[in-house]
Amino acid sequence: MRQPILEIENLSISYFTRAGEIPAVVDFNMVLHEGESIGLVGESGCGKSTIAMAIMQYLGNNAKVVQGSIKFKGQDLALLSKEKLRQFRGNDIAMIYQEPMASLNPSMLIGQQLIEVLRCHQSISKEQAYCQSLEILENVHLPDPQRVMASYPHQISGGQQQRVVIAMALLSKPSLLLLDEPTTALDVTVEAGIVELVEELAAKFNTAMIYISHNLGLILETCSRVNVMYSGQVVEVGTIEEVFDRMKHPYTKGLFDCIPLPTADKYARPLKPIRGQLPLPHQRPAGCFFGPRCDHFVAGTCDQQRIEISAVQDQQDHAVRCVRWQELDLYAPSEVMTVQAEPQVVGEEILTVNDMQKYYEIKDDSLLAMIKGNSVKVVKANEHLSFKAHAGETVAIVGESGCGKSTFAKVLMGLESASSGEVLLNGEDIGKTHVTKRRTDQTSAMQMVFQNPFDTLNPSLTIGSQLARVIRKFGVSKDKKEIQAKVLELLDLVKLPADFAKRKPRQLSGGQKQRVGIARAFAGNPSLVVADEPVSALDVSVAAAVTRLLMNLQQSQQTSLVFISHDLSLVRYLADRVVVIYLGNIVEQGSTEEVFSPPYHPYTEALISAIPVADTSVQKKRVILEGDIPSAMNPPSGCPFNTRCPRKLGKICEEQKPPEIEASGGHRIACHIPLVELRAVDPVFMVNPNPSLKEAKKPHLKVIKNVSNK
Amino acid sequence: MIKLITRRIGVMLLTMLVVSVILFLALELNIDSVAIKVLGPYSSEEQRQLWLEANGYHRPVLERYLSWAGSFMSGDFGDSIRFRVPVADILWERLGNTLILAGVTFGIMIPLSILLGVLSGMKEGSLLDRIISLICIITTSIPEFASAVFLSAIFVFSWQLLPGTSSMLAGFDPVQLILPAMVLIGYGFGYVARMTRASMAEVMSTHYIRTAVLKGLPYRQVIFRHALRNALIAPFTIIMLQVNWLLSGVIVVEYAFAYKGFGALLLEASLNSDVYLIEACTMVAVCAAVLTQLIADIGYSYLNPRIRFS
Amino acid sequence: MNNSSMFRRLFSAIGLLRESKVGMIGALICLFWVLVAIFADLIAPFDPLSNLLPMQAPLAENPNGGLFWLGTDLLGRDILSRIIYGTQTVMIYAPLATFTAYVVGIVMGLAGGYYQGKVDTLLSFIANVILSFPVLVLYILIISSIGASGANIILAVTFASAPGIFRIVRGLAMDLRSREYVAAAQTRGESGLWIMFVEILPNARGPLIVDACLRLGYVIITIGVLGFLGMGLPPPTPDWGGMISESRALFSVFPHMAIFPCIAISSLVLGLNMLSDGLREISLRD
Repeated sequence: MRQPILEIENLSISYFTRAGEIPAVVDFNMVLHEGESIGLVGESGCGKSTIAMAIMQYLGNNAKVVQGSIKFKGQDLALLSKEKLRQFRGNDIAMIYQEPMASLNPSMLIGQQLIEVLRCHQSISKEQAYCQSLEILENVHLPDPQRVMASYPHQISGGQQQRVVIAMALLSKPSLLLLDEPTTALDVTVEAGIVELVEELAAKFNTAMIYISHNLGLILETCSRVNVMYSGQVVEVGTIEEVFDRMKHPYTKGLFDCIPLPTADKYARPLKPIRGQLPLPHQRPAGCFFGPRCDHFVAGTCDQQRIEISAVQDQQDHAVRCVRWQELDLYAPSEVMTVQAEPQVVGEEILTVNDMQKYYEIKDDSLLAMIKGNSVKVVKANEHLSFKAHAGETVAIVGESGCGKSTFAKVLMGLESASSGEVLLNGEDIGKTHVTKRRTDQTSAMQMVFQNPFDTLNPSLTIGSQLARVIRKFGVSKDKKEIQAKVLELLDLVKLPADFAKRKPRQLSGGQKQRVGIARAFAGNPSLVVADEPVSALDVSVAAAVTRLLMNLQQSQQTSLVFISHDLSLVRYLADRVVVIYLGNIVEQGSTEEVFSPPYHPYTEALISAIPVADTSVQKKRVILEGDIPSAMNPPSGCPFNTRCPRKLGKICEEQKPPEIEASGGHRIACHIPLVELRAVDPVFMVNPNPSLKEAKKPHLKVIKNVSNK
Repeated sequence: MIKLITRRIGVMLLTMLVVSVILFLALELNIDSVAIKVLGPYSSEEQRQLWLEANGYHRPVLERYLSWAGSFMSGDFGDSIRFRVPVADILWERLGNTLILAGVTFGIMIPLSILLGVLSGMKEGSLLDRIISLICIITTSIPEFASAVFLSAIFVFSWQLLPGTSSMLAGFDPVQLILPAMVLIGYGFGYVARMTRASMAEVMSTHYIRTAVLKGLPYRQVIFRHALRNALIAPFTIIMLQVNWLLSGVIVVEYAFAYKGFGALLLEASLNSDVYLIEACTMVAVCAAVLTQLIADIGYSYLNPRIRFS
Repeated sequence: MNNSSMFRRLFSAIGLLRESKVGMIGALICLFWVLVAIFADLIAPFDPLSNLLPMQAPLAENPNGGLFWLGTDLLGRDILSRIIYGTQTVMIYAPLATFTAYVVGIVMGLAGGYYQGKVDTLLSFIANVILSFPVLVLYILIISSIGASGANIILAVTFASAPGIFRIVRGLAMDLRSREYVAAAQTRGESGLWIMFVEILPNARGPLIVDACLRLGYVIITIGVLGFLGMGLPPPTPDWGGMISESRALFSVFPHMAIFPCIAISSLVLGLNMLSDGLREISLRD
């Protein structure tokens, strides 16, 4: 057998804090060969990044390898001298980081940062190093590499920065590449480009990769094998097919059941959240760490001694850390989770947005601008937005960063006022009324759920007093006792225990805070709730539970929900109608079904195809967008999408605003391409139409299909 | 960048204007008190009126301010009441003396504090860091007048190494600068060192330093090429703002050691209600402070490429 | 807030301090001086104002009984007693002056940081104008024009320190106003006052407390400097800075008259600085 690039044996890492020893990684094993790519997947705090840092021998002062070894090409990294280690780093082992902007030195030219890598590992001249750097920048498909070399990091976009970081990592042709959530900070369409690049380069340079991510879909696209981690341990390991199609561990199964797939909606495949929350490292239970959250937990069996990882028979690489795996049938339809979602009857119109525009004026008070007389620049954050939302309906507003969805939310909530057009809530125009001028019944009729759980509650006040304030403010009740009762009622509504009323936000987990945020929004019996990326900052298993809660509440209260998101899988899952925004313009809107199938707007098509799908049975058409999202300060003329559109017709797209084509009832697309041609494309996702053909390749496909249709 | 500089200069001029108006109004709005200060408390009412008339004090305030500001800008600050000579004659000489003292102080204090700050911030929490931090806390807790007392007691009276006053009566003597400079450095370096340390420690924990280390760069290169450049941006501003502090410290030190400098002059002028001298000294002090603030702002944006190229 | 919960909070704060050695030592030094101020009447061996025996060295004996532990000054007053009573002076004026400066600075800073725009531009400009004076020059100008008295010192400190506090509070408010809980308060139609004082101010308290300790130390130094320059509290009030100033003429003969008040003031400031450092360390840790 070939000599492996990396061998990790029985690795255990602990953090030593004032509270004592906290194990971060327990008993980790891995063998990585040349050209192979392995995924590490798990929720936050599962120890996956710690492993990467241990391989780089860059653990913090308070972390220590307590057991085991990491061997790179047969050499134990922990035993290397400082100088030898330095020579390995950046030369043989390189790393790509989560936040490209933070990973580049802000006060050094990109060229310098690239050249020094070569110069410190090889004895070559400056000119040679410059040429090689230029070459590698071309390899990562950066336009105008010479200009990039002479730029500071802040002068290029996030996607380009990540390409620079990748180029930097590949400069000295390392044999091992670590990727730590390399696309988490990027927009979906940019992510798709980076993922493609990573695949292409790995094949080209034959680099072994460890790909760390919380996203199963990305792992599927980039890796051949995967380790699923939970609370510091690998719970399941195997090839992609083994783990994705024949999973044996209840946690793996739970994880898959938590993620929405862009091929199914809430009626076809309701999410099944894992109950409870991740145990804190020093509160891990005896026996199986997943025990308290597991549906298959058996007292006396699962909570005794430490559970070892054991190989699955007949499958060379597949191993699972579960004592009961042989007796479990994870694919059996469970009775606990009956389908609770039923198609809703759409009620009356709650929100009508009519040709709403929001322009910001930015004062340019330089002398030059004042002399020229154009001291005011206009940012067109929202252009001609029109759509409707009905009672009991979920309308998703989809777009990438900078598309104007947050501005739109601000106008809705009355923190900004519309420049023109109208926003009708229950028939009254509120678009130009600032929130402080709105009547109490208007403010309480429309409330918001925010994005960041750590930011959504005032850290100085108790949960109870924050909820009570809302109740009093909205005039639901004035009586102290009644308010108290109402607070408890609200907590119950979001499935939190009553004693949380006395707690401060810092005593709550992220998911719990988000629940309180939801309770706050529903306190005044709103007819419309605006949710701005409410689960994007949460871990997968928690996000599923919060999503479900939000959905149930909305249905039981017959509330209209405006759901702002960049996550199309979630939108597909949750929404009844979808509005796609690009640079402040609606490019397409219609029912979820309509938007997710042809005819597509070219942008929607690219957006949908960029979603990483964690389902081996789905075949995806790839549409990768070139370039970056233009700035809203200086939007392109004509169709806003013309600079990146893969199906651009020509001059007409640059010169004229596209017409709105009515594809069917409520399905409208703003594009110059004739409807017939738009209709002629294939759908992005194909759930393999011929199961037998695929079965030959992936024998367990049928089982998977049953799951996804359950 | 040019836009930013012109803007800053504009703000600076506006600040100077407002300060001069406030100062003028505070000291010369009540013309009778000006006359009393100039002619002394025992002058007769008649004498005062004559003097006011002769010096144009019965004109409207705005007109008086404009003529005052005009002669101020041409370098005519009026006559000192106490010294009976034009203010300009003493002011520049005293300012020169203070510049010497300030120069010596800064020349030693800045390199020392940056060195200590960088050493301390490079490895946060190390023994060296803790020792340096403790020294800094202690020295910044001893005000100038107290350290002047302590150091004099040691170097002047116990060991009799240094002269106790720095009046330089027999001509310029560098030895007499030692004690005042020591006092100023002692109180001032800790602050700059702590700021440098904080900035350095912050930079050392950034992701781009991690990137630099994991690129396999030698540690020296990580510190000198990657860390220092970023870590010294913030202290630069702080150092420039120290000029403002130094002017305060200089008053105490010059008073304590009878050094014939600008600070002692200002104090003397205030204690004697020497109107024109106060005006001139204050404007000079504010001008120095605002100018260094300007340099700090421009320097900060120059050192920081994120601002320079935006 | 009721008393018992305030005490509970105080105790939990002290419990936290135990984690920082520097902070703990600082707190102990401060506590020592607070106790000295409170029990001055009980500890001071002599009346700080009565002229007993001039120019005695430390440990000299008083013919009428008792020991001049730290000697006597030019007018024959016991130095130890004057330092002890001087603590009261410091403990009254410095915290009071710091407090008023904070009230002004916080109100200005919250308004500037929360409303931004023209209000902020105006407030910032005022602050910049005041800050462009070297601090001591400002004090000297104010005190020499309105005269030296306790109230005037408080006034001068407020005037000179409020702009600095304004800047800090403004920065914190600008940061905190972008938090989602502020947006949540805005979307339910809360008034600006509510948002500034309930949603923003309580969450800025950490850095403000750290800064307040530092600033209190600085105010103590300032009052000392003013006394040293002969612009402090009018005699015969026992004032540390004034004691140093009075002894300057005969410093070469009787250095002890200046040294002991200097030690007193330095140690108190050191205590505050260490406390502030410890608090900062703890607040960064969590």
